[in-house]
Amino acid sequence: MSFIKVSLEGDFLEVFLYSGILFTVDTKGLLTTCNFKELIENYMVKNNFKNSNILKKYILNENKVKQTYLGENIELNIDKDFINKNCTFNSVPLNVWPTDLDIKSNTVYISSERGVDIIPFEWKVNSISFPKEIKNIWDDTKVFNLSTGSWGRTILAAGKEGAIEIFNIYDKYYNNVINDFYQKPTPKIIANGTWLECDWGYSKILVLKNFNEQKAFLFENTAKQDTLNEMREEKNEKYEQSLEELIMDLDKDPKYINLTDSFIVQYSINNGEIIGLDNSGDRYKYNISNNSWVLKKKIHNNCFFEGNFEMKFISSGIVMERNEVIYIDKMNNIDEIENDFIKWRVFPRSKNYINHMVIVKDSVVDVYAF
Amino acid sequence: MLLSYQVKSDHRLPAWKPSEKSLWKVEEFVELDIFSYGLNSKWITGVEKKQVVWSFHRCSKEDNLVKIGEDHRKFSSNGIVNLGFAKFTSDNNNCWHGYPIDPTTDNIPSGILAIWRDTLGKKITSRINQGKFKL
Repeated sequence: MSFIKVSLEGDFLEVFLYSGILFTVDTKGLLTTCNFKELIENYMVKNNFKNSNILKKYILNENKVKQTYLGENIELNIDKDFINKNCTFNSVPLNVWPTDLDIKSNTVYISSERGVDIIPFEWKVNSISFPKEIKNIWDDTKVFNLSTGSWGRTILAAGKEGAIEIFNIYDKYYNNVINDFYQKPTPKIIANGTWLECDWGYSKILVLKNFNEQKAFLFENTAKQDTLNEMREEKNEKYEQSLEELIMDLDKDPKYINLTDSFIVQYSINNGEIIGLDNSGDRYKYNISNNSWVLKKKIHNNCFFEGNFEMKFISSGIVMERNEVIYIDKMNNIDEIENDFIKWRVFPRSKNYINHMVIVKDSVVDVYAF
Repeated sequence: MLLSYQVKSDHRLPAWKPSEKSLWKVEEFVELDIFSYGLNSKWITGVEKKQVVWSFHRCSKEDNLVKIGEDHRKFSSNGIVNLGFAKFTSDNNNCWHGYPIDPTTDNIPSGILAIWRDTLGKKITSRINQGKFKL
């Protein structure tokens, strides 16, 4: 199985790649940004790296293309000293250990025992700048996982408090459009139970997970952010009506999709669709209109998993975690990637990093391109 | 003020009710030992009368975290949740009591986890924080 791996030395808890910037949170609760592109390029120049074009193509993916790496494995190890000397840093003390991190529309969302904090940032040359203050948008419960959507709507997996829908009132479109309306959407529990993970990703489908259970929900379509914002700016006569419809749509509870009692052992969201696997690894797409699974790809992998495991899609395969071991299913072969790690993350909404995975380990972060 | 410790019967058989409380699965003297370990280590959060002591029990021979209790209230399809951590609180007379906790239900502050990291390791403490630690 082919991969390119960049290992970065550091005592991290969280890592996120966003538009050429590497966001990290260390064990002291310090959120730090580093120009990832600059770091990789400097490393290649200073070490006279022979595969620099391949590395740039696959690790940085500035052309934003879906691609699969099929060459010889390439591994880079960048130590702390080199990172400190060759990276433009900007940092914010969070003073808490995060449970999850998401970045959307130039805003960092951080969940923790404090609830959810946001840090909007601005772009500067080769870097970004943070404001002086962190804003809190939810402080009622500890939040284990979060997922951001349009109109500032954010879903929280809040442990035993259930799955909660809140709105980021600092979101640009919430501020521009929804703030105009007299009756704004309020936080609400959308699913009772104990939920530790939520996966939403720019789709109408939400998947909630805990140790041994997952549930899917279907959200109502909502008006496009840019369209309604333009109507507002143009003082379009239909704006008021469209705004009312938006508020009604945002107010509707998501519908529970009953996917249980099926042969599907695990499912996840891929490109806005629910994709499930049976016990031989065959892939099925869930057809919401007639409530059935439709075979998408036959795999029949003899060593495929059964029971409970975590899975996420990247453009060239499926990353899976079972019994604290990470595997990748690429080109219909399952290979073990790592068995001693803190956490891992993929970037299904990203254009540059659609084929990437980051693994946080004890004293290093591994950035993979597959 | 003098400190005292009371073993509460509602977290121990036969008075324990599975649908209401967690259950100690260690002897009473071990419960007291777990409390002393947390207190002496200064694994304390909160102020004055609202202080909380956090603790766990380790097997000195194998140097690993030991199960100290059970929770029968959550994840019904999963059965019993094994518990490895404890939370202790005090009343107005500085009399302390405690019970085993599930970190997905009773949040262990990350300030405590940051200290425990030296003993339990980054992997375990980070997983506790994410609600993903299983004993």
